[in-house]
Amino acid sequence: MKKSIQNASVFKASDDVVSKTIEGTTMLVPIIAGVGNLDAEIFQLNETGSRIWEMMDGKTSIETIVACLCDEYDASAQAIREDVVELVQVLLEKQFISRIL
Amino acid sequence: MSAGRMTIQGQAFSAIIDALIRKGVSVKFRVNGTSMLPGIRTGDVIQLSPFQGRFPELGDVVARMADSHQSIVIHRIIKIQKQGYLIKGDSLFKADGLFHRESIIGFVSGIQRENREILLDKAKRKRDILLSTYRIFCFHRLADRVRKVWALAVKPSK
Repeated sequence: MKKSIQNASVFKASDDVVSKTIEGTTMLVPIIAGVGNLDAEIFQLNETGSRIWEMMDGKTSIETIVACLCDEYDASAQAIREDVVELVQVLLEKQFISRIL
Repeated sequence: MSAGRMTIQGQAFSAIIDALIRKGVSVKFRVNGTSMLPGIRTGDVIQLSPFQGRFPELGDVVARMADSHQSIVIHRIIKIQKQGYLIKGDSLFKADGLFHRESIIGFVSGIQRENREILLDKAKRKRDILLSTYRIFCFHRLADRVRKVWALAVKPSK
């Protein structure tokens, strides 16, 4: 059964993805059979996405991520939480992150 | 999050390749240039792999960072000296110079052309090194001739 994303949920970047952040943009390259293919799909996260990715460290909860972003951006906690959950769902679907809690 | 076949250039391109190689994984990407003709052509997809314990060998086609990490150059090791590795593009007349082990990030372990794998024949390495070195010899001979012709042309007539 698919677990919902709670405030206490914690996620961690998968070992099968390599990320690199340059000037606020994070590139994510999946490693398939020991090879990162730059000629195929590459995923890019904008500045906010990069900030969320940075906090996918296996320790920081969704609640803390939302609180941090509320301090940094001029948006409501509700809107930020929706954005965070949406990105987490995509990253989970692509297996770029795994659930710790 | 955006995804797809994006063109990464410059520092971002070099940085992601470096990050993948440092993690110990191979990386595939499309190359652009003519300096490694006929072996590697524009549009070929090469697979770059980390050395992982072994040292670069004579004849290896290797990648090194260039232009202050703004680009990656894929050329061949044509000589190994105490001071470093002499690296050169197969179709060029001049070598790039001597480089230390630390500046070589990986070696070409595969080439794909139009969805077809190009075999990297180790037996052909000697021939490739010879051809590459022969071009330097040709360049020096040509330079000598130009120098001689020039000297005759500017020689004051008595």
